[in-house]
Amino acid sequence: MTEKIETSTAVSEAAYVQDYTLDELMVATLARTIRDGNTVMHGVASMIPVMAIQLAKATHAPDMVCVNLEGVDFRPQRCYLTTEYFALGEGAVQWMSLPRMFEHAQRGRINLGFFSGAQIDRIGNMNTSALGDYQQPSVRLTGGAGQAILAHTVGRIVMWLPRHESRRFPEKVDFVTFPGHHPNVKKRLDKIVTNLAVMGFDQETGYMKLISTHPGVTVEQVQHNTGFELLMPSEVPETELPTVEQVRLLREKIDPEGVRKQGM
Amino acid sequence: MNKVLPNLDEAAALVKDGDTITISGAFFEQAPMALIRAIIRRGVKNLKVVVAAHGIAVDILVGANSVRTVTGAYVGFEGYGLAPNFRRAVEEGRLDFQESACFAIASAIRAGALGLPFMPLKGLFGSDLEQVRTEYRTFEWDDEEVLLVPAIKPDVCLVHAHRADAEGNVQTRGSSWDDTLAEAAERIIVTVEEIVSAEEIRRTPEFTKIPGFVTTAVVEAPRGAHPTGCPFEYDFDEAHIKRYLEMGKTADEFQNYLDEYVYGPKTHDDYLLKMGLAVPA
Repeated sequence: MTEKIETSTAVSEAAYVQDYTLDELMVATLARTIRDGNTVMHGVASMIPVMAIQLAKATHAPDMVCVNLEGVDFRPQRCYLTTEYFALGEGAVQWMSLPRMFEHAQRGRINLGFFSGAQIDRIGNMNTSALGDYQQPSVRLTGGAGQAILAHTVGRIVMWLPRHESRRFPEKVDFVTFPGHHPNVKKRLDKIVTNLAVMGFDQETGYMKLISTHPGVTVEQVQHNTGFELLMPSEVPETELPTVEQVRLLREKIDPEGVRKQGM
Repeated sequence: MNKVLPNLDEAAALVKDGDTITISGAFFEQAPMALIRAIIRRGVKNLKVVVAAHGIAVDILVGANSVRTVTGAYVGFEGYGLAPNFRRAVEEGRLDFQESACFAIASAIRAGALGLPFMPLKGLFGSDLEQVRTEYRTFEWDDEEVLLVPAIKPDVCLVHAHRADAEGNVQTRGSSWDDTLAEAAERIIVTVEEIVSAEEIRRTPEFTKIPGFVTTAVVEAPRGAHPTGCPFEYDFDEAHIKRYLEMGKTADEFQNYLDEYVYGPKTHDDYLLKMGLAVPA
């Protein structure tokens, strides 16, 4: 299924908000990666993408549909620190089951997916399995759930990492749970949104490149917190600010409890 | 045929040392926790647990030393934290974790349910999981690389559901793939919120996930998913999950958790009383 052509979401300067928090900037930035008409999935423990999906639906992407492990086109009334839970299926048009979401993706019907990991490297490999030696790990993490499959079957991939630190951005990840470098995956990788910046990947080399820095963050700061050399365009703009409307919707309608803050 | 057993202990006795088991539900929903507590009380050992993604249901069995291997794609508590007993056991080299991806495991179980030797699917390529899952094969079909995962046919499937009749026709509401999990297994043990009449089931056959001829045994266990939730019935117990994670921080402290919540209450009724969840008669 081809995606609709991206429509401009440009707004006048006056519509941007200065009073926002970092979680709101991340949610708004992730929301902007969603195009109207997209069919979108998110993973487990993904409170930030779940808010971004609802925000996009309420603003520039009313025809977007979210397919998660619980339901199709949810209208959640509450959110805990879990994103595979029936509260996220309530208000849906259809209940899902775990295999069915993967089947839709395998059929080519999911345009966009949000993924995260404990480590990410220069070529977009992510580790959600173990830190240190895989057989005798210093920290056994959760595992990547569906990542190793969905990397190949979801149309476009956006990564979100709330802690941009050099140890989480190593030259090479300890274990490749999510394959970034595979030729079939490489072309699917779109953006990486962190607490410091937005990045992408150079189409030819597959290496990570800086796209924009968040307000108040310097290019040097981003590089200092990255364990490998980022490709640098000649000009690095500032990440687009959240709009007044985005922040209002988040605070008043979508996430009045502030679950997004605990999702960081 | 009547499939109803009078209590969880008799149901738990159907699970033998060394069995391969699957578990219904997910992290915080529809996990057959009352049945799992009964299995732990019986001292069952060396289970081979197969799950796509789960949390407390796997972690509590590992913490009670009932498990030899876990096959899974995600074991954790999402935003609440890592699975304390699971990570400790893997880090200390006491637990063999056979890591895979959700859909690969679901496909292997579906192959089991369909009576096929394997299932084809797309993906996993380029991941290091390809190196550790040596039983998987690849196949070229019209220039497309396909992954083949061998079937999993568990000895036992543990399910918590909304309701069933005496013949073991089981109904659930909400997201679930209990039908596939059950059909793949040899013995299917189901706890339900409520046992209802056959007429009641026949009024809404579209909700029936597991037909009686597949089911081995049914036990009534209201609130049997606690501390996980049950769609349309009750939410998960967030405070108890936090307490579990707190008490799971060390092996010694977790023993206190087991003593208090698993070994202490000898029956499900005792547990409900202790938790203040007793359902009025």
